[in-house]
Amino acid sequence: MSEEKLFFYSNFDQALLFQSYGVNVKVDSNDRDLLLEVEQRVRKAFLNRIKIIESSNDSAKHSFGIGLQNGLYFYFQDGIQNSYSESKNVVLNFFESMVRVTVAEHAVSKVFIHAAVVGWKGKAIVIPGNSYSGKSTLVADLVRNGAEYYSDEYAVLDDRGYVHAFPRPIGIRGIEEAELQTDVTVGSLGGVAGEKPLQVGMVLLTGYQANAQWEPEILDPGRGVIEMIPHTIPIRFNTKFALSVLNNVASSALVVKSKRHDSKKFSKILLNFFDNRINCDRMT
Amino acid sequence: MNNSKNPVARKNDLVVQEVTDEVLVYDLSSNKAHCLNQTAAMVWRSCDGTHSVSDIAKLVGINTGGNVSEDLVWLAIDQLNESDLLEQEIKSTFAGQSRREVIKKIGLASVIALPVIASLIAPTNALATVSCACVTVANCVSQPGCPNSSCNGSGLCAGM
Repeated sequence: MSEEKLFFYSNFDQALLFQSYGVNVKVDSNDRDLLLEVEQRVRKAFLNRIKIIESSNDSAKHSFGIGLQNGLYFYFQDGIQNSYSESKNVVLNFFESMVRVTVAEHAVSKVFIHAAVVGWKGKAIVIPGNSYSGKSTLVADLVRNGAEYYSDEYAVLDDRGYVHAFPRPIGIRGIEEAELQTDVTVGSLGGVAGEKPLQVGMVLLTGYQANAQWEPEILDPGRGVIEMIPHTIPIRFNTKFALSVLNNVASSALVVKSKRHDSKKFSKILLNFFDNRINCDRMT
Repeated sequence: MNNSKNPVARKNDLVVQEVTDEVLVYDLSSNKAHCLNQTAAMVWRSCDGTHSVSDIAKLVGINTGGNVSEDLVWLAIDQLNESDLLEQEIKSTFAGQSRREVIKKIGLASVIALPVIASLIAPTNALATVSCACVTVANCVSQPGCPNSSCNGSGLCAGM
């Protein structure tokens, strides 16, 4: 690495210390304006659910650094220079993504699952899935069909297995360019965001496949938990608590697996299926 | 008294979660999750070093109210071995028969479900679930599931 592409950690002379979901995080910088932008990004990443820590007595187990030198932006995580770029936005976007996943992994008393969530008739429908699995598009169509918006990224579960809203703007890819996400507000879809924690009524394990048929397979709770594990962010860090929460979810919710087709048609099929199952359960 | 030939369930580095009719075992050393059905769980729990395979077959039989063959216990032990859920590997004695033949034989005669252990490896780290943001293509390679041909000008992992 050439000298101008090296940034020394000792150049950092100011810091932002904050807490979100019980996790303390420190971000170092060498530039006041950059640090202010970092704070805005952090507020955006956690929907303003952060507390700035002023006291110098508090420490943070998780640290980041964003430095500016000779027109290059440097990104550090846990004291190690990870990358650099000429583009401030690229570095800040990456930081935003990493800081969010750090808090999601270490959150106190909550289990973050990478999933889309909507509320429907007082219960939550949780759709675990990786990036690029079409979660946001499906959520947008569910909202257009009357579901309450909870999240397109994380199901935030408490110890009872209830899901809490994490209603960031819905990031839909492909509006401007294939991989680029465009943030869409739930209001612009004619929907509303849910606020109240909801019991999970259904976990849907699905993936898009052209011309796929909706052939729902109901999983038993054990398999349901196993299938949710790959999407459970703190599974390695807080295994016992995460498994207990997943068990609470899988024991009370319907866990369904099926391929799906186009989200516009599928969203209606899904809500009908959910209604039928709920009515069926009530009758039995 | 413990007999070194008797199977012993592993206890260290495991997180056990009871699920309706099943048991989930998460192996902290390998980050593998195993789901044991009721039969596999009963056999695993009976592996305390004091019980032989024959004893375990009787114990499982008492718990399920039917005759349980030693072959069925061996079938469970075979899978427990594979899942690294025993302290020491116990060689199964299917007497030259393949596992498939044993399953066929037991399946027809058994009144209880055959032991089944479903396993998966948890993602290597939380990065498996981030949103494909990147500064360099190396950031894409470290995020399973994201396209990893390049990191485009918008700071997103992109495909070909």
